[in-house]
Amino acid sequence: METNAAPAICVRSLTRRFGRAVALDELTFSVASGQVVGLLGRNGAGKSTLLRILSGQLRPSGGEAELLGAPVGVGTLGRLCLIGDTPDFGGLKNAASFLAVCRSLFPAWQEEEAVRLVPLFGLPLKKPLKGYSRGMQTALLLCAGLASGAELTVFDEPSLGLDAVMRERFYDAVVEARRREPQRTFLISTHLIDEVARTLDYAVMIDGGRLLAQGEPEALTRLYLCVSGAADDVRAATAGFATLRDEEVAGSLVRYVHLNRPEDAEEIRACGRVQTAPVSLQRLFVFLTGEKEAERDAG
Amino acid sequence: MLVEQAGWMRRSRFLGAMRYHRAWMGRLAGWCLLVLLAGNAITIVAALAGAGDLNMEGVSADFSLTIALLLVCACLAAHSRTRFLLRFGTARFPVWLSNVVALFLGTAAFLLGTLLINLAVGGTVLALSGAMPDRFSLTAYTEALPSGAALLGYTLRESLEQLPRQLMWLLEWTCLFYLLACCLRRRRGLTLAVVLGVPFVCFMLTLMPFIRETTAALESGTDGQIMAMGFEWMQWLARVARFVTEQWQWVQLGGAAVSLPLSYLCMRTTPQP
Repeated sequence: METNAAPAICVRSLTRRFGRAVALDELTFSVASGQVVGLLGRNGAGKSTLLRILSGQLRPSGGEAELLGAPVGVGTLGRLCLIGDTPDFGGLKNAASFLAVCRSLFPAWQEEEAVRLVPLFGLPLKKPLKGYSRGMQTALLLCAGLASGAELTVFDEPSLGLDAVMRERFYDAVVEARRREPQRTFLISTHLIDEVARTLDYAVMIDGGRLLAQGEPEALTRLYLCVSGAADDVRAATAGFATLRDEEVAGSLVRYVHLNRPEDAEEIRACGRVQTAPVSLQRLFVFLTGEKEAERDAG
Repeated sequence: MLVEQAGWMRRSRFLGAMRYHRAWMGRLAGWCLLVLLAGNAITIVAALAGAGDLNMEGVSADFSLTIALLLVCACLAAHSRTRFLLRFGTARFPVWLSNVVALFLGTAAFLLGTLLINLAVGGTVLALSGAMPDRFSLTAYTEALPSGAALLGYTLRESLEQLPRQLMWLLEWTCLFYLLACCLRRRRGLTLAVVLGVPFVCFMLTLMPFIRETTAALESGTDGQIMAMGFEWMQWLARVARFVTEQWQWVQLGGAAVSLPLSYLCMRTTPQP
C-alpha cells in the first residue's frame, strides 16, 4: 500500500450560497492523510454542505476543494466513500445483496473486513432490509464504509439510531482500521463531540459556515482549564486569566478559564487548594461557539 | 490500494452501478417472466382439465410487455435507484450511463426471455396437440401459413429475423423513456402536462377545421357535399397513416438521439439528497 503525501482534504476559501443564505463562508482548512478527523459543528453549521461538495454532489459558489491532491471530480470519487446520515438501500433485498453491490461499487473493497464486521454488529445477512431497525440499518452502512477500503471514508452523523454498545463498537472499529491501515483517512462529521473525541487524531470545528478552530484535540484543549474548589480559592488561583464560565455547585465554584500559555496550568495546580481538570473538546466547542455568537451579536 | 491503476469503469464505479442495476432490475424482470410463465402454465393446465382450449398462432417476443416494463424500470432508475447511487458519492456521469445501459440490457434480456417462454409454451402446445388435438392446436390466422411444427419453425424464424429491429426500437424507447422519467422526477406536473397536453392540443388544432366544415356541411350542405367531406376525411386519415408508416421510424430515431443528451442534462442538474 502506498502512502499519500498530499493532504486528504484541502479546501480554500470555499463558499456555498443557497439564495441569500450562506452555508459555507470562505472556509479554509487542510487535513493530512492517515488520520481520524472529526468535522464538528452544530446543526446547520455547514457540515453536510461541505460533505456534499467534497463528494461532488454540489458545486461550490466559490473557492476550491481538493481530495487527496486532486480537484474534486470523477477522478477523486473512486478513492472516496461517503456514508450519509439517512439509510437508503435502493430497493435491495437483504444485507448480503447490499454488500455484494458494495463489493463492486468500491474499487478497494475489503471482503474479509466486511465478513468480520457484519457479525460484530449483529447483522443478519439474509433478513429483509425492511425488517431492520434504524440502528441496524445505520450499522450496515457503517460496515460498508469501514470495509470500502476507500482512501478517504466519510461518515455523516454515524451514530444516528445506534445504541451505546453499537456506537462504542463503531468507534473501536474505526480506531482498529486506522491502526491497521495507516494511510486511510476517516472523516467523521458529528455534533456528538464528547462521544467521538477519544477516536480523533484531528478536529475541525465549524460554525455558521466558518472555521472555528482546527488541530489535534489535545493541542486545542491545552489552553483551557477547569478549576474547582472553594469560591475564594478558585477566584484567587485564576486571577488574571480570562473566565469563560462560572458554575456554583453546592457551595463550591467551578470555573473554566482560558490560559495564556499551557504552563499556566501548573501554576494554578501549585496553589494546592483547588482541583483542576482538562476541558473536554465538547466544552471547548461550546465556549468557542459562544464567543463567536457574542462577537456576532456585538457586531 | 491499486485504485489509481484500475480502469475508468472501476474507478468511476460504473461497474458497481451496473451490478446494482443487475440486482434490482434482474429481480423485477425475473418476477415478471415468472408471472408470464405462470399465466401460460395455468392456461395449459386449464386446457388439460377441459376448462377451455388453447390455440397458438406461432411464437414471438412480447414487445409491448417489454415496453411496459421499460417504462416502469426507467421511472425507478431515474428516481430511487439514482438516489441510492448518488448517496455514496458516485459521480453523475457513470450513474447516468449505467442507468441507460442497464435499462437497455435488462429489457433486451426480458424480450429474449418472453421469446423463450413463448417458444417453450409453443413446444408444449405442439407436443400436446398430438394427443389432444381438440384442446391444443397451432394454427395461423390465415390459411396461407402452415400449421403445427412448420408454423412453429416459421414464426420462430420470423421472430429471430425481427429481433435486431426490435432491439433497435428498444434502444430508442430506452432513450425516450429515460428522458421522460428524468423529467418526471424533476417536474412531474409540467412533464405530464407537456407529454399529454401537447399532442392533444396539436390533434385538436388539426381536427377543428374539419369538424367545423363537417358541421356546416351537415347543417346546410347537400348529400353530395357531405359525401365529399367524408371523402376528404378518409384522405386525411390515409395521409396520417402513411406518415406514421413511412416517417415514424425516423421521428423515433431522431427523438431518441435528442433524448439521450437531454436526459443527462436533466439528471445532472437535479438536486440530490
